[in-house]
Amino acid sequence: MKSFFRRLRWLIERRRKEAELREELQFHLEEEAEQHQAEGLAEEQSRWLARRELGNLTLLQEDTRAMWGWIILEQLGQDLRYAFRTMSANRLFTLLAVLSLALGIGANTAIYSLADAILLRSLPVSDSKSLVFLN
Amino acid sequence: MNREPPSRVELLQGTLDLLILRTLLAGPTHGHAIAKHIQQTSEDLLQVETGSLYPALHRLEAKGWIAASWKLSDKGKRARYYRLTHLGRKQLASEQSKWRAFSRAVGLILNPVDQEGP
Repeated sequence: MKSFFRRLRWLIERRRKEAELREELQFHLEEEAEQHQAEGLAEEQSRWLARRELGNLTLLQEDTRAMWGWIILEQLGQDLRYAFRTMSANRLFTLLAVLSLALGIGANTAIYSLADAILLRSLPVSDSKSLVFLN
Repeated sequence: MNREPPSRVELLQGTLDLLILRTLLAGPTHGHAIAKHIQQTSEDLLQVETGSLYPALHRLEAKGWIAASWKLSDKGKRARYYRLTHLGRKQLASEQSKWRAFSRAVGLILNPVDQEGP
């Protein structure tokens, strides 16, 4: 339970958390470079070597972020943003799609609420059981 | 300069957590020092890749086994220090006994005490 709240806080403080991760990895690189320098490499070379040893920085950041949880939420956000971008790039198509969905849903709701009121619910009269159909 | 030791052992799946927790038993320290400590204590046989170290640290933090705070390093730079929590100590004890049982079991199979009968 405690770990859930911790992760919830991490979600809210996401920006700060990402800046912290960058700083943490930057510190790691500096330490590594200093160590190479102490072993006798030139400054430029030791920084380069430290960076090379770390490998794919973006992948490392992604893997670490994945441990904070909320991957599903993050990907949902990405998908939603992508959807809105695509829709705003194609206004006419979006308009037609929304219009046809609105008409379809609206017409269905109208028909079914009519059928519900007439056929399914008892009519608002006293002793509705005694009503009969006459053909 | 002994940059590439002749042979390295691959870390077994799941042992990195145990090694990190054990390293932090000595006191709070930052990621880089944890990696160096594991490498030096294992006589350079184990090397912790940065690409697995930091995800592991953040995973352990998410589980509440370790806690992190920013402190100044001995060289005066801001570093993220990790320390073992109460929960982490318990986890370390249980993982340690699991590991001992496992290595004893493998040892028994590799070096049988009794010679197999005819």
